[in-house]
Amino acid sequence: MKKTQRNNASFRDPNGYVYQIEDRIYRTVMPVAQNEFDFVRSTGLITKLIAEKKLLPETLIESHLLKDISPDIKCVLEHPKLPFISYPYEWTFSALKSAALLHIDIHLQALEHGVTLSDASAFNIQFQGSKPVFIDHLSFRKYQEGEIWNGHRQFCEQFLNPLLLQSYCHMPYNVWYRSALEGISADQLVPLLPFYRKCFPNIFLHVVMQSSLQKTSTKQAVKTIKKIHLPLSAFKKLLSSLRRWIEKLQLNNNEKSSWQDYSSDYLPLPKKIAFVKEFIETTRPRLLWDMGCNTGFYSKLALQTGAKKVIGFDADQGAVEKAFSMAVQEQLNFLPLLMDLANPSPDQGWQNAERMGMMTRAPADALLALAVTHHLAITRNIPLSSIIDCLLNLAPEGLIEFVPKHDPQLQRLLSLRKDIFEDYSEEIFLNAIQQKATIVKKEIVSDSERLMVWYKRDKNNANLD
Amino acid sequence: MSIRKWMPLLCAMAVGLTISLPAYAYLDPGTGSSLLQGLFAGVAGVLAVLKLYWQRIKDFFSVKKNPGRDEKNTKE
Repeated sequence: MKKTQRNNASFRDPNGYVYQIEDRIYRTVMPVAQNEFDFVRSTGLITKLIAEKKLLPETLIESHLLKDISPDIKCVLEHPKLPFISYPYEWTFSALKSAALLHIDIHLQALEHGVTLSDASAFNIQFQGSKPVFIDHLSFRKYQEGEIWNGHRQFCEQFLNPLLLQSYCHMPYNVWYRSALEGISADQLVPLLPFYRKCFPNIFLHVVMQSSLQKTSTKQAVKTIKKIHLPLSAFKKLLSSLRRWIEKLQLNNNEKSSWQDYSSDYLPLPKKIAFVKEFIETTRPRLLWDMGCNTGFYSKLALQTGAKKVIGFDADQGAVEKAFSMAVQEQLNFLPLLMDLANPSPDQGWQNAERMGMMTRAPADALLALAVTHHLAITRNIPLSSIIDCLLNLAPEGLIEFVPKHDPQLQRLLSLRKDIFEDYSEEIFLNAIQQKATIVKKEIVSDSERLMVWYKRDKNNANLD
Repeated sequence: MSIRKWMPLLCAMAVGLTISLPAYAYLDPGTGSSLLQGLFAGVAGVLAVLKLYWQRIKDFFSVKKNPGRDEKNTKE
């Protein structure tokens, strides 16, 4: 009997639900949504969006598979399984911006076919490499002449306002967004905006006015709202003007981020490069996690050497932004995400299961943890053995780099501190690895005696999920 | 004959059903967003929203007048 698991994030929209059976992903189309479903498919929009790679492919299949779930289901779609799920609060500025632009483009294209979108959740978009793709196939329905854009408020809260917070207030949205899964509301953003910004028409309308009008009592407003007839031309103009505005938004991070110091001090080490190449050529991972990916140098190297897909994690905004730009320009199957490894994304949302934490999304096929353990040990005061134990749980094999205390990089971290790290040594590092794994190869890769270790988890510990 | 009696009501219901807003989706569009879009909907939309807003402005001014009246009453 194959185990059927409903996706923990699929429960709000009664039009249909997403299930996983073994390694395959299915979506039911409930009877209530059948008419809309048939109409939308008859327009040819879905086929077009899939061909343009803006929408994840769908295949109509026999519905007997999910008959035990509900006998009424007439229609089931199958989708390709995405190897990795990421969330808007993990995306860097340019990634969220590209997702916002995709959403608007899809909506404008839909309107050309007499179709509209029911909602505007940022969680309806995933990334394939560095390219955003829409994944909510049942959000499309027939457009009714005169209807307003139902998703406008949600679009502002989940796409626009976080981008504005960064661009105009120079405040990263990721930490806030991670807690407030519904996004940032207009009334929360208004007091943070510089006064002169509020005078610009776009902000005045979509943030200030929307916030102010929200305070009108629903009882009074309902009569007025029911009379509103938004012509199609005005609807399209609304979307287009938002698109033009969002396209111009920039990160505007004036602060010099720490990666810039790091990259000028640090030159790629030939032995390290060779070691990584050998590891990737041998293991050929389908999914590689690069912990502390910085600007993505080794992620790109891994892809060139035989890794299929790389997810990068780094806490430095400037570095991740640069890594993402590189991924876009060179069309790499690489998605760098903002993640503090000492406080990674938790399981959260409804029942603390709706959105998966970083650990829940493990394991990857392979791991790179280059020049990252000393940051966690020294700056974040996490015991070295605990760091190694955690890293070993993330993938069955990988590369971990040990940076000795006399290395200039580490000395910089200790420059204003007392050295209290008695448990930070190469011996403890190697012992920690050997608790659960075998050392396949180790090599000194720098003049400062940095040690690279290739580990492979033991058979007993092979499946530590 | 009894059907004729009910015809006007039945017609009104039929008309009401066709022009009423169908249950679109699970998402709440928000009062603020809906009224804002009224401003994009042309002159009629702008006037409708202003009419609503005008009531708020009027309420604001009428609250200011009341304390003065109360003072007069207490003095007496």
